[in-house]
Amino acid sequence: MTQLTNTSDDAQDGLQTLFKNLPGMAYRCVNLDHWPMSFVSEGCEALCGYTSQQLETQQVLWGDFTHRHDVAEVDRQVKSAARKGQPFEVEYRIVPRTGPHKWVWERGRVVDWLDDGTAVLEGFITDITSLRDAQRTVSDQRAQLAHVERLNTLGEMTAAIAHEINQPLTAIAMYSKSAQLLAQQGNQKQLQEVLEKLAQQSLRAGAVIERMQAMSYQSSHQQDHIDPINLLKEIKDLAEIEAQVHSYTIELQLPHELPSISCDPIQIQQVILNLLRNGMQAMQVNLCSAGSAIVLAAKVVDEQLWIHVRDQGTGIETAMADKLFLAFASNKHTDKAAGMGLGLTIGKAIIEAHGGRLNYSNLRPNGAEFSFNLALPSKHA
Amino acid sequence: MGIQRPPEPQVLIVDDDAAVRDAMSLWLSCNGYHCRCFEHAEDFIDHYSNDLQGCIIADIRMPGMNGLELQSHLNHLECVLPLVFITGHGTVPMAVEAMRHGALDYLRKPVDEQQLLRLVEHAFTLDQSRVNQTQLLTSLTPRERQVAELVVDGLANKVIAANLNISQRTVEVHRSNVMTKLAVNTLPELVKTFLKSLP
Repeated sequence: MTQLTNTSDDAQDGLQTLFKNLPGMAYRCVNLDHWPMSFVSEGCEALCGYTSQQLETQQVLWGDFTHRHDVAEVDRQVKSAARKGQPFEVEYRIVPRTGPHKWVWERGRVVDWLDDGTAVLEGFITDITSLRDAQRTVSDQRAQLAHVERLNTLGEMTAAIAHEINQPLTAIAMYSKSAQLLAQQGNQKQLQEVLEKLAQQSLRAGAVIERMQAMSYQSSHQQDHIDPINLLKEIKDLAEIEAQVHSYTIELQLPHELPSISCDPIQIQQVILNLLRNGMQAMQVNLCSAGSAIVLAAKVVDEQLWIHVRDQGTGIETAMADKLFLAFASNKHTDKAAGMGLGLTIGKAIIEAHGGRLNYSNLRPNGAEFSFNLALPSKHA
Repeated sequence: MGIQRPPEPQVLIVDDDAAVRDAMSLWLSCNGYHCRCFEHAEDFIDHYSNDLQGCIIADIRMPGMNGLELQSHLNHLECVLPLVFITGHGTVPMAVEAMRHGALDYLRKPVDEQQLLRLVEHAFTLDQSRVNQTQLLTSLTPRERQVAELVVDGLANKVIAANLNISQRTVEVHRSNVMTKLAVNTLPELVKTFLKSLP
């Protein structure tokens, strides 16, 4: 064994060198309002623009430049961890002495308790702004790509949508011209009936447009308290426009109630729409007869919401299996059905960004099942 | 069943969309046409009989039996009613196919109500002249009809007389009666009218 011959001074020097080289700042503070610091390593100046001396003498307090939107949440998490005696990890924004705000990552724990019961914390804080920016860029690009894919999907659905809108328009044209004749004839009673029917048909046309409108929105974002049943019913309505072209039905298999989820509802609907459309195309290739059903099901297993799409199509060929989720790998041979080949790739990216996984398996005797999971919000949150 | 069908010509509408059916039959009724609506091609086939008069307006895209299948079914039943298809976006090639199999015309959705009226009117005129000619033909006596058939076949009066074992003079009288009853003056007109009147 090597003998430990360092003097106390040597150890102090070593520690100083170590702190100096840290990509961030180490600290010791009491867990009071604004976190007064009793020790701060040199890295603090690069991080927040104030010297360690300014912080240690409490001319400035850490809480003064913690972003006002984040301070309460940081406080909550630190206190909660302190109570349980666990280390905490938080990400939040600070407003440095000069320049724009920075994102920081902090990890710390309780090292001691003062007589009055206040916790003494030690930890480390580092700048993660560039990591955050990169994540943000990736997320923005994924959102843009998803939007392009949604528009492309709507483009592919044009024929079906036009058909669905032309039905009420045809009725409207006939009703309105008939109404003119009835008015000329002074047939008030029938005129009233026809006007009522006219109104119904215009609402019907409007509903079709409404169904597709969400898919065309550019901005979509994470939302809390999304009711999965509502989300699934909405997207079923939109997919139904296309199901009618093939005379297929979409069978919803849902429990009476599902817990609400946090997600980007438009992106999740986009994934489901894509899976339903793929499934119906596979059923067409498999020459499924009119009236055949594709199943859209949801259930909760182990704190996860699972969503399944089961078709009666040709299934996934082994040769296709490896590249199923790769961009531009399309399983659709006919020109008409060939999309961008991006649907599943984007679907997978969307689900993974939500912390879930998109899987598939072949069914017997035929068909395929695509499934993905979304975590349910934890109960204490 | 057992109910005597009214003899008047009707517009027979076959469309799976309730609103389209209702609006179309209302518009045509307002313009003096009798209409009957069918939700499915199968329903229409069930109610079909060869003495129907008027025309058929059918959607090309329907669940179950589609418009083209309906047409081939009707052709099998030797249906001679003018058939007009309604086509939506993306079914125009099907409409062209239908025209090849004898459809009168097709209308694109959203349907122009004036165009619909014109087409129905045209279809009714066509069907009416078919009906009239069939009736003309039935106004001939059996002997007159025999003579007419042989004239149309291109036989001379002398040959017809020999064939039917009657005098040439009698053939001439029958032939003249046929011309009067069918309201034609020349032989080509007779041939045309006679052939058109055959079911």
